[in-house]
Amino acid sequence: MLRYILKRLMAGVLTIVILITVAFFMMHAMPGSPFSPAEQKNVPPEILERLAESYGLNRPILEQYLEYWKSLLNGELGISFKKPDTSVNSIIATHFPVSAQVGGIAVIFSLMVGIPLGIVSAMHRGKAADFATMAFATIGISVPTYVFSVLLLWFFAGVCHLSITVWWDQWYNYLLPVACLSFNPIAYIARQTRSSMLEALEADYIRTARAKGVSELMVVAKHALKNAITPVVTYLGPLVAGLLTGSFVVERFFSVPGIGRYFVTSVSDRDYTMIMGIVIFFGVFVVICNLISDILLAVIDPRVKLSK
Amino acid sequence: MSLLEVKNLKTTFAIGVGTVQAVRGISFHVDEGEFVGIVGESGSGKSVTMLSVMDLLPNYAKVEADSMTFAGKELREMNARELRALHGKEIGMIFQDPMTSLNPLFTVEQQLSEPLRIHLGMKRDAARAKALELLRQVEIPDPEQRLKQYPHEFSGGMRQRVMIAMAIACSPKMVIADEPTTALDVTIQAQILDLLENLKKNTNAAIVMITHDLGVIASMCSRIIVMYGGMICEEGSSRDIFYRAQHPYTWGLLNSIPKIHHDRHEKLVPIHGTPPDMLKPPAGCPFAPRCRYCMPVCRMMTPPETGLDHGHRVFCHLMHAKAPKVERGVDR
Repeated sequence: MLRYILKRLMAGVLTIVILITVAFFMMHAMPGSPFSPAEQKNVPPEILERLAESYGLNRPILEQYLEYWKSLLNGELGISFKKPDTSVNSIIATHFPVSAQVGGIAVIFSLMVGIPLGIVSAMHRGKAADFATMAFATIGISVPTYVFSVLLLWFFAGVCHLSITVWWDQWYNYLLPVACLSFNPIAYIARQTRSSMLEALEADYIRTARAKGVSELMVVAKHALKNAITPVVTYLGPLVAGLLTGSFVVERFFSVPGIGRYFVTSVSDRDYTMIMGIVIFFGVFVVICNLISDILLAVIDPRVKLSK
Repeated sequence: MSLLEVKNLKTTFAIGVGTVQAVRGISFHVDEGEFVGIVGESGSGKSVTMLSVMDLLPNYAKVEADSMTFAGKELREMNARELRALHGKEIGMIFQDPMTSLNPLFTVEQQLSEPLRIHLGMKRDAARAKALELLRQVEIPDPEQRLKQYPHEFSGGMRQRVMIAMAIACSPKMVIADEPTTALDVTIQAQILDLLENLKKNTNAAIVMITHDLGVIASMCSRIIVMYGGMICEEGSSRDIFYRAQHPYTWGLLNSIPKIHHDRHEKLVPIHGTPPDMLKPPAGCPFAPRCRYCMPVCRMMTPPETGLDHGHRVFCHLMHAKAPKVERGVDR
């Protein structure tokens, strides 16, 4: 077990190194630069030149790459190009907790709604409850988050004139972003749970359990659910990584002061250090979440061998 | 006294293209402590019969019967809770495929102690002790170690032993074994059959063994029920079936068993034709289309029961006094 985790972590480190390298060179290959005269028309070119020099952008790219690694190994993600005097570390440290909080609630909410929905619809296969759930799930999977966000925004702010989307200081500010973030995962989890639950309920071991006199509730909640839950656990890794690191759209719409917006703004701003910081942060997060969901899977299913 | 008494059981499955008439009005009984074999080919309704008794069929199945009593109590009048109290406690069941019949995600101890906890209210330690004892009883070596393992760490034969241990955990009055050896290879088959035979000796449970292999149950069963096309063809003691069979289908079954003293060039005699389509079963005797001795009446009327000595029952028009006398097709 411990050896497996170490091995996976080493593989994860390798993944991150490759990620950093690819991201770094791709970023520099993008047309334009943070201080290009063509983009910053209001600033005199001499000043731009000085700025570029102070950030080391005039040096050969390989040298910049090595320089970046040097600061990275010291734990420094560098100073933001857009917000002078603010380190990328501190930006992540201030904004990530907000995103993680909203995302964490959304993950829990998705599981708590999605799994029961899936079970209920599997148990009422072909009946009204099943059709209703699956209709909802199909909509949930096909409607993009931004459409759903706009609809909610329009309804609550435009139609009902509620100011619950304007500031970020009350508990109810969480409602809409959490709803938007969990909309899609709930649909996916419900569908997945339904189909694996249907498969599990047909299995021979369920018949065995019934033949033993196990109550219907325990047949479903214990014998079938444990088998049906494994695909959801596999999905949990990417889901947690995706939701905890925030969403550009949802955070923008509902003025959540999270990290999500930096995924997009850092790129359009050519904020090199911020781009790299976000990429690394997200990469590490995905690697860890996947590792945790794999371990969780092995805990649930003894046939999954962690050594492989 | 009859432990299980079934009268006029009919089981149908409503599927998209029609209704499958899996069991078409059969009556039988199982006495306390006896070993009954139900023999028939695939689709003859033998498993469905016992699954109907156990109420383990999917919900698109419809089970009808004039009566179905277990230990004097009417099964059809029981609610779900009362049935559950019976399942696993009074009636144990062993299934065909041990590879899929155990839950892959629970240890053998968890699965084995489940009926003990549910029906006998045992606590963890007591259940573990009893589970150990059960594993010893079904001759699983190294039971302490085995108890902690998962089904995938067991071979097919060992899993079937676990299934048997689970079925007898609460000392049931009746054990139903649904083709318990079909999925196993021959040597393991013999071991499992030995185990069931020991079970018969050491407990006073009635055993109902469902099989398509007459050879498997020849020496074990006190009584054999032969089924075909959802109906009973013939029922009688082992000796009646093997030496005094009256139904052409039973003859066919007997003829198709390889015999150990057969000349190796001698061919086995198959039963020609195919089993009936249970969506539209033929009128009259289900075996009529494949029967060498088929008479016009066989295609029109369901054959009535003819009772012979000692509970030997035959459902065949040939038993009628005016029917032509035919040669027995069994060379013994």
